[in-house]
Amino acid sequence: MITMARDLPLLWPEILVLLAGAGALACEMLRLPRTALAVATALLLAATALSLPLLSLDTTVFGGTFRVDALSVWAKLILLPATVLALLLARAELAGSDREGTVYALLCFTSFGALVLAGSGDTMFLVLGVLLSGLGAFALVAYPRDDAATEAAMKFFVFASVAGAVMVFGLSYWFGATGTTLLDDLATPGLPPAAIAIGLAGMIVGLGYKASLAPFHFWAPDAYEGAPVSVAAYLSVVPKIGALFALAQVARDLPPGSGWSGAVAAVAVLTMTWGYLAALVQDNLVRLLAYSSIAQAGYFLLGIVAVGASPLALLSLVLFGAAYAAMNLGAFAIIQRSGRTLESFAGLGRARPAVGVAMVLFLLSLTGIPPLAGFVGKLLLFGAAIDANHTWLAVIAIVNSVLSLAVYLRIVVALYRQPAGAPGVPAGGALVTLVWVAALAATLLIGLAAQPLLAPLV
Amino acid sequence: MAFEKLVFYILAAILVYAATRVITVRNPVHAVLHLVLAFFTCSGLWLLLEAEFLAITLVLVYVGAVMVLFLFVVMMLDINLAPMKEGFVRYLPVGLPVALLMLLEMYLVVRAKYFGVEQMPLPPRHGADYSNTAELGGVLYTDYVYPFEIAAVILLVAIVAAIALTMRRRPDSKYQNPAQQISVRRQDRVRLVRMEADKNE
Amino acid sequence: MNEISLIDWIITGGWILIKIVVIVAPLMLAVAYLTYAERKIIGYMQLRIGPNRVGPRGWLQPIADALKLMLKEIIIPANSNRYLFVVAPTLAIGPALAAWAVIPFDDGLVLADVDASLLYILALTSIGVYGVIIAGWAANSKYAFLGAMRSAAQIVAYEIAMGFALVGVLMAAGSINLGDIVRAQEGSLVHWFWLPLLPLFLIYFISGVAETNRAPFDVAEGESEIVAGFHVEYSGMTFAVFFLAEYANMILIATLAALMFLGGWLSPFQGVPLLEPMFAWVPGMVWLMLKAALFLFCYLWFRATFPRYRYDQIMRLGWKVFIPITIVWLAIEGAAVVGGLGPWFD
Repeated sequence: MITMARDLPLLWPEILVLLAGAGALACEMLRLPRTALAVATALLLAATALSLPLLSLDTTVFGGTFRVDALSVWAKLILLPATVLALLLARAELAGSDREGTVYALLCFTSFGALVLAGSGDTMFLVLGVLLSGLGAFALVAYPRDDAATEAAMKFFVFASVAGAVMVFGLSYWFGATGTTLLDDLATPGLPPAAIAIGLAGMIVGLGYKASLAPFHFWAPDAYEGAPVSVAAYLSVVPKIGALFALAQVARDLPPGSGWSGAVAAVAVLTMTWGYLAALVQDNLVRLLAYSSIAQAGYFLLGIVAVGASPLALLSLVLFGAAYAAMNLGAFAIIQRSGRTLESFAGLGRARPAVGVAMVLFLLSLTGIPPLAGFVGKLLLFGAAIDANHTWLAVIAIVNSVLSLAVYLRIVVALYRQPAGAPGVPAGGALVTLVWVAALAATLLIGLAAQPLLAPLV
Repeated sequence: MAFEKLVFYILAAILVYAATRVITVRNPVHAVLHLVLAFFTCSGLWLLLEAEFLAITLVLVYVGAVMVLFLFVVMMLDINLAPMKEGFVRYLPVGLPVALLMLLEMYLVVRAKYFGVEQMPLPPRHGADYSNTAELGGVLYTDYVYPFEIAAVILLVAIVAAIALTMRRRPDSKYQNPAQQISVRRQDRVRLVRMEADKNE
Repeated sequence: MNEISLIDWIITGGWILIKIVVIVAPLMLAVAYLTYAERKIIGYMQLRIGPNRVGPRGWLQPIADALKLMLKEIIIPANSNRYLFVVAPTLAIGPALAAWAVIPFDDGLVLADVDASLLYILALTSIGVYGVIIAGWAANSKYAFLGAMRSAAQIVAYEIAMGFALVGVLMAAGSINLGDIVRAQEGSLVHWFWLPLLPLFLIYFISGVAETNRAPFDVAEGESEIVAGFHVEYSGMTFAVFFLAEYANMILIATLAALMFLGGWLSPFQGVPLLEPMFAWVPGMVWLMLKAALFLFCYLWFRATFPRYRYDQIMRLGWKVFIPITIVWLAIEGAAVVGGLGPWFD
């Protein structure tokens, strides 16, 4: 049976994240937004630190419903620092606005939802995680309360409601087939294949919306565009990685012969191609990065397809997750600093060489150029897919990477183009600089240090 | 046994009737009231299943609170359903396949092969000392305490999100501060002025 | 499983009917004389005499009122929703009477010894609001509708505080069976839950006053603002039924407060050396009635004393004062229960 004394200490990181949200809320009540930020940041960092000792574990708590394994612990180590960076971006963008502390609280709660997703060993957690990481996100998107933000949040909300309902409907079939909500029991032989398929379809819809996989991605560009840039940066990283890791958790338990990997691979192809093709024609950088983040989600699926078939799968997911978080947050930080349109980037590389170089590095990393973090992650993902006999998928992914070069080079060209008018370079605050420097450091570090890090694991 | 069956069929008939009326009735307030009736009879059915805690909670939460607010909103909005029904034929080509698909899915899965009565044996009857409430509490606060608490957090986040979106301090709004009102002193309100009396009439 | 025959059904059904009548008939009488008490008590508080014409000292006044209401015409306003207009009073009084099924009048003297009786009561009191809302809407009148809206918002607000207060009771008693709750208060006057749960006790009773739409929370009627609120269009028996429901609810809240916080049917002299045997002959039901009467007197006293709350103040009191207090006290109580604080939680 369950022993609280054993299980609760394993959940300390989650408890601290929750306390971070509650603490920020309490500070907001006392009208102390700066304290709210400090409390949330400190507790999130403490939670990250407390996750480190859990790295060696591969166990479950509360009767198998929640997993404390490599994937879930690495999710904490990636998502919590990413949340801290998002908090700083939000502070830089929204300081002094009404109910500023609420933003920090909602960011913490949404991250908690992403962590719930990443560790789910039970369909209940999938549903709860999708809900929890969604509710806060709607409010964050609508936070500026202007027309654009409200419209974005409405689209997001309606899409999320339908996707969530489809997901719950699908998962109810799994419950009906297995008689339990545990994901473990999906591996039981002799389950009705129709029920498994419907459940899988529902789950791909629900988690696919959360991770903005095509064709459930329509909300993402609109929501990111209407939302504050910091919120868009956050949404493109934290809930997305949480949902993708949840998909990996489910994939571990799906019966191998049921053809689920084919379905996921099809979604991967669609997502990557659609994402980059749409990104090609965007002039708004937030929309461009939104489509790019959709395409990147497709790359994650390469690792998920390989789950259970290749030992590289989990490693590649974790590594690409960390790399993606760093480079995407960095790119968004620079957009927040310099402006949302391609025009506002004109000549930035000459006016501010450091910023320009950083942006180029982020974009190259997103493309997957060595020796940056994105390259290592993508390389492992391709390897995992090939390992799992999905060579064709890896080939399509590589072709898409070439396509992505065209997408990202548009920004690089703009950076070093002569500005049309006056070089109106908005000054970013020290916080934004801190964020992109940190993200840049992570991007370089992951890329350069990956080999020795990987050596004992591979 | 026979009595239970009778009660079941009566309640089931009312439930089906009420649920059908919810979507067929013209007046939205009537629709909400039929939904209330549906919840109520549903709770009666749950009582027959010895799930008294859930049955009472259904009445308490849905009938007693959620539907009251629903009714509140429906009455305030004064919705006219006629224009809503106009789109029925237009959207039928989209709606019908979805409905048929769901029907097919249900058929595929709920076929007797997997979920027939033979596959699902009747759960044993419980003794008179069986307390559904205690059993539920026992499970909810041990095995499922984590999802239970997460559900609580979801509610908290929903409240925070709703308040963050709707309640803003608007600079132009005027409101009273009772603390300030009661701590007012005479000097703040009245000024005594010494004036010469007017001498010439 | 042996089949139960038709005769058995009829006998069981008949017994249940008789029991219901035994509870409801005195209740109706109590309602009638509660109105008399109200008029007399408030009269004396306002230095008047109150009704004194019908019968000796006015004792037959409630009977005369009842007769008058029964004989009056029921007017259904034009353009109203006829069906709902007539159903609304029934919806108001149904739950008010049904809740009495689980009230224990003495040790073991209860119509239905339901395990989750506290929840049952909470559920039933929460659906009483439908009578008010539907009445307000069906009458197709501005004033009635305003009254209904006010009442709906108010009842939803105070139900939460009330529910939390009840959570405190069930934590203290370790049961949600009303009989067990009273038995858990056995001992003496200080063993009753009013002492350890003092804030919850006060909040429960005040919320109870608000739930029954009584002064000073009677904005749903608000004679001076919206004439008579939700039942402005009702006359004759339909009005009388609302009236019955309101007073039956008052008695219910008073009885529940007595059961949960003042030891129900237990003698107040329990554990007192000399007085306990002296009053041992008094049946438990009498104690329960006396305690309920105490609360009913408070109801009338409030009405004679306090001015009506402003609507926003009611909302503030419910959401921002009562709910936080109950939550804090639940935490304190939880600590006390875990720590085994005597003489209540050991």
